[in-house]
Amino acid sequence: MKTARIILWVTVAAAAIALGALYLRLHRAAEAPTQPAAQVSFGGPFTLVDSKGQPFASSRLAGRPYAIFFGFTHCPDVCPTTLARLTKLRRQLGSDTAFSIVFVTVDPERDGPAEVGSYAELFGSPVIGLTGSPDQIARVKKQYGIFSEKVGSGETYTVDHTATVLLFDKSGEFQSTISPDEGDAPALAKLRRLTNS
Amino acid sequence: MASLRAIAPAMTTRIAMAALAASLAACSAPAGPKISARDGWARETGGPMAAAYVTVENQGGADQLTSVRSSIGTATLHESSMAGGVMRMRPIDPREGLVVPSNGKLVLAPGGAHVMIGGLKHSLRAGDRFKLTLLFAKARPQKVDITVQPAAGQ
Repeated sequence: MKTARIILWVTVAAAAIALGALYLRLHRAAEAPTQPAAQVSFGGPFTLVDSKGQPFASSRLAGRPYAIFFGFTHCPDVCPTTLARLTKLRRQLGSDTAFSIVFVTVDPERDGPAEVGSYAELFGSPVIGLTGSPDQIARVKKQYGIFSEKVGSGETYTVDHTATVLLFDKSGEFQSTISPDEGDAPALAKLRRLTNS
Repeated sequence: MASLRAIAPAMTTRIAMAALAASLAACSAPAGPKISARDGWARETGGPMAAAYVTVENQGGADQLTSVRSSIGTATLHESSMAGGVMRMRPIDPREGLVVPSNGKLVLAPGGAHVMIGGLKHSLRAGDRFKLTLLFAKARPQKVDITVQPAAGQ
């Protein structure tokens, strides 16, 4: 009887500890920062290749805010969803010229000018599709703090990549980010701030 | 003889328990799945891959969506996930599949589990229609209509 009671108390104590640990873990997960801090600087001048195969210098983006997103054209889900959302939010701001939307491939081996061009044309609203040599892309990825990694082999490989959209004001200064799992309302508020700055 | 008499009641108990266990198992045996699929759509394509989405409803016991087929290309189940701002896309292992909960639904939607279709014979344009066949671990295959939607968000 006494043994049974001891076992029971030990079980209760173990359950309490487990619950406590679970709570702490969930709490920490909720608090973990997922966004780069605002004071971190991204961007800088670059030269890539546009959908006609011509050099595209970042100076052409000057004078207007821009949202830049890195992806690849074999990406059927998250990439078009992100670009469609950006064009939708831009329409909600009332003008296709409120800010530029830039799509840069992280898969230059498969995505030439034609590929990024037809991908960028899909959204019924101007999107600047850019590619480049593997070296050019690697440099721009570094400037913008973008991670990407090829997964799998053969022709059907996929590319894990940063799916956060980076926002720059009209003088090319980094402003903030939009994460794919962020709601439309906060994203729109950021874009409004960006275009009013 | 004495030992036999001692064993006999134990045997009876064991048989009775086995019978009880069997009847309990019969009672709690899950009902078969009752699957239907609706709201199938795909996005217009500007690249070589298409994504299609569908809602699978189940009014019976749990099942798994294990694979997909389409006449327009090579269809596979994939899942996108986000961790620390990085997007990952992985094929779903057909041995595990995607769970269709009992009396619940499995929703394939942008940013999560989806059907990826490669090897497209031609690009998908808004208004195009095609069929997708969903294969399950238990339920019979289901055909669902897919309508291609404009890529520009509404």
